[in-house]
This record gives sequence, structure tokens and C-alpha cells, in this order.
Amino acid sequence: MCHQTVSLVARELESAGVPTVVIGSARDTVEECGVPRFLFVDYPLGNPCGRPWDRRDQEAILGAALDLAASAVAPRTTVQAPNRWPDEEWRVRYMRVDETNRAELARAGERRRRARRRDDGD
Amino acid sequence: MGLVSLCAALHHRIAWASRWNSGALGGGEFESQTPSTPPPGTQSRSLTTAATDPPPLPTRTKAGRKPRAGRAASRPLHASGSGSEVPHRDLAEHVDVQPLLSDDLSQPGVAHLKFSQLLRVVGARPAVTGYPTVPPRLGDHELPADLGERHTAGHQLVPLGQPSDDLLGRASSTLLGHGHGVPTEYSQRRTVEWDARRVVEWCRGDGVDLALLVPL
Repeated sequence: MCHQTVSLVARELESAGVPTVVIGSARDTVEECGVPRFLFVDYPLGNPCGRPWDRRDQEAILGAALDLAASAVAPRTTVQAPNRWPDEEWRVRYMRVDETNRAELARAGERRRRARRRDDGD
Repeated sequence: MGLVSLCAALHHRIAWASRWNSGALGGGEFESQTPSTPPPGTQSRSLTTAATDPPPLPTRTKAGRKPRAGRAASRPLHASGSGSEVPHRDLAEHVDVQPLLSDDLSQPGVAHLKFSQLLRVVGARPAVTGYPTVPPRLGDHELPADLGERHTAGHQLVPLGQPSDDLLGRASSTLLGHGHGVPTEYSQRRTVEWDARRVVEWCRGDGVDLALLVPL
């Protein structure tokens, strides 16, 4: 994913005097780049700000990020959000493609390509 | 004095920067790649000729866009998206085709071309007939995008639309009504020297005191 891109942007913002908090789910990448404040959310990639439609979860993560902005006193501060993804087996199933979902993915992809062609034609 | 209390005194605003997969979502902040100067026009051709001189051949000039230089040259024409980095609309703009065409049979090659056309040896064909066929072994190249779309289907990618007053009150903040996106360039130099500096400019323009960055 693009955790490296965002980490590089964070470093540039910090050097320009703009404080930053990175909210991400790829801990190794962000810590390797080295950012001042990093809120690690142990969620599947694509959901660093919380579960879809779960406003309470999303606000808890955003609140933790604001708290981190206020409390971090040293560079490369990493705080792990206490939030837990409901399905503990998500790591096993994340982005998995097998016979149970191959046809569904193909249909979704075809819909996406049709929409993209329609947009390109406009 | 902590960061937030200092920011509270400034009644700061918060911007978030995220990366979106699609240029349609996040690409609106990027400059369009229109040329800064109009393309050089074709040379004017004089139609006056001496009676004994053969008519001058049409000048075969190339009319193209002003070459990009410096930072613009290293910038991709399309900040995000797949496929050719050269927009299709630009492909035929680098050559002024009209002077290359002629019906004058006395010109070298024209008679041969016309004769070949009559025999249907050569002929005009549409430049683009449709989307190219995807080789079977590469058929899954769309799969990551399909998965990504399913993953965030119908979901606001950065769900910061309506944070509660309680949450914002914690930081005495106001949330900026928009965000900025950067593409994955697969080039550290390009990200640092171009995209990151643009984000800095945007944040300075917005007057933010804290930036939340969300990789997706």
C-alpha cells in the first residue's frame, strides 16, 4: 500500500513546521520510514480510521490520534490503538481469492470496468 | 505547553491527507497538464510562385507542444491511474498531419499510394478499434483493484465527515471541510520533491495546525 508515501509526506510536513499524525495499519513500513507520531491501528489495510459505518469506532480512533498529537514528546512515537477488528480471523481471509468468492469478484470487477469505460467515454 | 493547547490558542484547524487509489477521487487537486504556451503554429505558406518555377512543396512542419522541462518533465502526465502515461488526446497533437497529405500525383510516392489504394492494397484503418485483449495469464491484473473496491465498497474512505462535537471539543479544533490526496508514485524522489511539497503548500494555504495522514 502507500504507507511509505504518506510517511514521506509526513516527514516533509514536519520539516515545514506542520505537526502530523499518521493513522495507519502497516506498522513496519511506517516505523522504517520514521515519522514523529504514528497511531497504529491493527485493522485490515484500507480501514485505518475504523470499521465501515461504525461511527463510535471511527471516533475512538480519531480521538486517539488527537490525543497522540497532544501527548507525544519524542520523535518516532508509536501508539497502538486498543480497537479490535470483530473478526479475529481476518488475517487469514484478508484479500484471499478462492472458489468461494472468485465469481463474485469477477462480477464486481466487470461492473467496475464498465463504469470506468462509461466515465472515460464522457 | 502541549501541542494541542498551543493549537487551541490559535483556534486551529485540522486537515487530513490521505491517499486514494483512484484519480477520480483524489486527483482533483492536481494541476492539469495543459501547456503553458500555445503550440507553435504551422508556417504560413506563400501561394505566389513564378511562372517558370515548379510549385513549392508544402512545408512539412511539425507542430507540437512546448517540451516540458525541469520539474514538469519529471512529473507524470497522469498522477494516478493505469495504462499509458500519455493521454490519448495528446498522441496525435505532436505532428501536423495536414501538410503531409497531398493529392498531387506528381509528388514522389503519391501516385504509388493512390494506385495501391485503388487496388485495396493499402487503406485507412481506424486507429483504435476497442480495448485490447487481455492475455489470459494476465487476466487477474485487475484483481487487486477489484478487491480494493470490494474492500471499501460504499464506504467513505476517510470517515471524518461528521465527527462529534465531543471529539472536536477534545482538541478545541475545527475540522477542515476538505482533504488532499497524493498518489503512490513508486519513486521516493518524486514523492518527496513533488507530491510532498504540494501537500505542504496546500496545508499552508489552508492554515492548518495539525495534519492527519491516512494511508489506505
